[in-house]
Amino acid sequence: MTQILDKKQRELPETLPVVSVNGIKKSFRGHDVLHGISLDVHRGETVCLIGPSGSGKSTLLRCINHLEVPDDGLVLVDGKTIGYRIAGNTLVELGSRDLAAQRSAMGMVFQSFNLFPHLTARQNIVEAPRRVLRLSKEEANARAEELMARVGIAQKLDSYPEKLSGGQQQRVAIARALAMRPKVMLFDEPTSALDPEMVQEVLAVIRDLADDGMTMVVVTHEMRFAMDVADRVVFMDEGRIVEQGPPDQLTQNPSHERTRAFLSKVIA
Amino acid sequence: MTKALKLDARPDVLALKRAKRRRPGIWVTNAIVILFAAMALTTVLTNPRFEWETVGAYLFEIRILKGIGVSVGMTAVTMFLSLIFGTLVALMRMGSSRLMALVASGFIWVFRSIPMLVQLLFWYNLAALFPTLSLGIPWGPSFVTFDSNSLLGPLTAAVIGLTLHETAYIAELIRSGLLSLPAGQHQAAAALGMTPAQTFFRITAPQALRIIVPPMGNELISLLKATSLVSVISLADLLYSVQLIYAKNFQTVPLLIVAAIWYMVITGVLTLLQQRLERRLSRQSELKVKKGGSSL
Ligand SMILES: Nc1ncnc2c1ncn2[C@@H]1O[C@H](COP(=O)(O)OP(=O)(O)O)[C@@H](O)[C@H]1O
Ligand SMILES: [Mg+2]
Repeated sequence: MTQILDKKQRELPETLPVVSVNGIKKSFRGHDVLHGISLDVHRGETVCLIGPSGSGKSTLLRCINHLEVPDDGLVLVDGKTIGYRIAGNTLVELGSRDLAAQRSAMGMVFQSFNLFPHLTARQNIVEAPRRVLRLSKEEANARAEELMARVGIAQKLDSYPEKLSGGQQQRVAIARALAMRPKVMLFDEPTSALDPEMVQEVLAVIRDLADDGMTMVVVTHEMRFAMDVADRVVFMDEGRIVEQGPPDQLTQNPSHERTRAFLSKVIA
Repeated sequence: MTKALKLDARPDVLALKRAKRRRPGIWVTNAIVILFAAMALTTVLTNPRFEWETVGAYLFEIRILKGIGVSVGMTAVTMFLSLIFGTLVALMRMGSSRLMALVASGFIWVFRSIPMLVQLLFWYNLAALFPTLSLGIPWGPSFVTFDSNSLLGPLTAAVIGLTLHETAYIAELIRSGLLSLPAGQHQAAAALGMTPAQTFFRITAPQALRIIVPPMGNELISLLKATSLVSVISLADLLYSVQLIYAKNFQTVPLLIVAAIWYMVITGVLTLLQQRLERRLSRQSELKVKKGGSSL
């Protein structure tokens, strides 16, 4: 088994959370989508984010890596203020280069894969390590080969995305994100766009990452998967965290009526 | 209703011969088209006023060949400059700076709305507006001063006019190409930590290029023909060279045919190049898969 996290990372004391979301607010054209969300994710922890469609799960995930700029609140990843640098007692907005450097420490996997269609699987994977991390061609290729083997499709290295099934494309997308050796992985409904028979192959890859100690936030509707893999399940509704806890507790004994109502719908 | 054949009832259907379906309509239209084409061709070839000998005599005349050089050269330089400036204007228009976007929109509006002919005359006569042009600090001292009559000869005026016009069109083309890409491409690149410049050069521009090639080919062909307008500022392009010749020998129609033939030849070559480029871009993926697919 290849290890994504190096030894040093694993042995760090568990003091600071890897991701610390503090009072994030976001509205689109006067419509409040997030009402001050706070959430910590610790090293090696897998947090599954569940909730009805439109409750702000994607927006929260996109605020974490600043694809969406929060109106208020602050995200810290590994102690770094995302999108800002500290100058004296003010937070100064970062330029696009510095922001890009911060983002490279977070991997993101999208519902619609978003592979680059003009590049092969290998080229998709090596692009950012080569350009952003300035890895040598050999090093980047070695990572691509290792990761494609890890997600179980080493034979598809030189295929273009259009020649791959949805499940294979999503596995390439995961490999592409992992090639940056991110401190945290953010998954936004990674299996929602897949045909049913391909869901399991992608979930297996994510489960494997969880077992390996990757820090992850996974937005998902796959409750069985969440029960199985999550260290903590967070239930969101209407831009607020309604409740959170270990998967058993949350599903067996939810303390809010809204959680109960949602769970009864998704656990058929 | 078709009669369904039961296979077990007629096992011999598997051995039947097949015939192509009959398409009498196509035969009729083909015959009509061939007839009209033959009629047109005979008229053109047998009408003595076309003076095919004169056409032949002037087809490779040195002044004509020089004129072709000017037309093709102007097209190439203008296209090259317009691609660079057009990309910049498109990016300005799509960028995050409101002011830049406004400036770009204004530029596109101005240079798309002023007819090419008006622009050429304007640049050619610019010397009348600004007898001298100088480089320096605005409202301050100037470092170099040019006599605009000598600087803005017909060729410079033509290239400036054509380039401004073409830049405006190409900017819109490039912008539409970039806008047609799904937003997920930008997001994926950004999430990987790529800078906006890296995202443009490595991710969005190569994809937009494929979409833009066909309309860009049309743009290039239109530009070639638009260069014929420079004859109004007495620049010896293909058309003006032809005009100079028939002004003396009054062989107007044959010489215009010479010009037409050359415009058709150049357009034909450009069309072929465009088709090959399109085919290469669309086939690239399959070729690469075949080359690299040895591990399968
Ligand atoms: N870019 C945007 N512009 C306007 N509204 C948006 C945008 N992104 C999300 N929203 C709105 O924010 C709300 C939450 O969306 P989202 O975060 O995608 O929810 P979820 O992922 O939980 O389904 C929805 O009402 C959605 O319409
Ligand atoms: Mg969503």
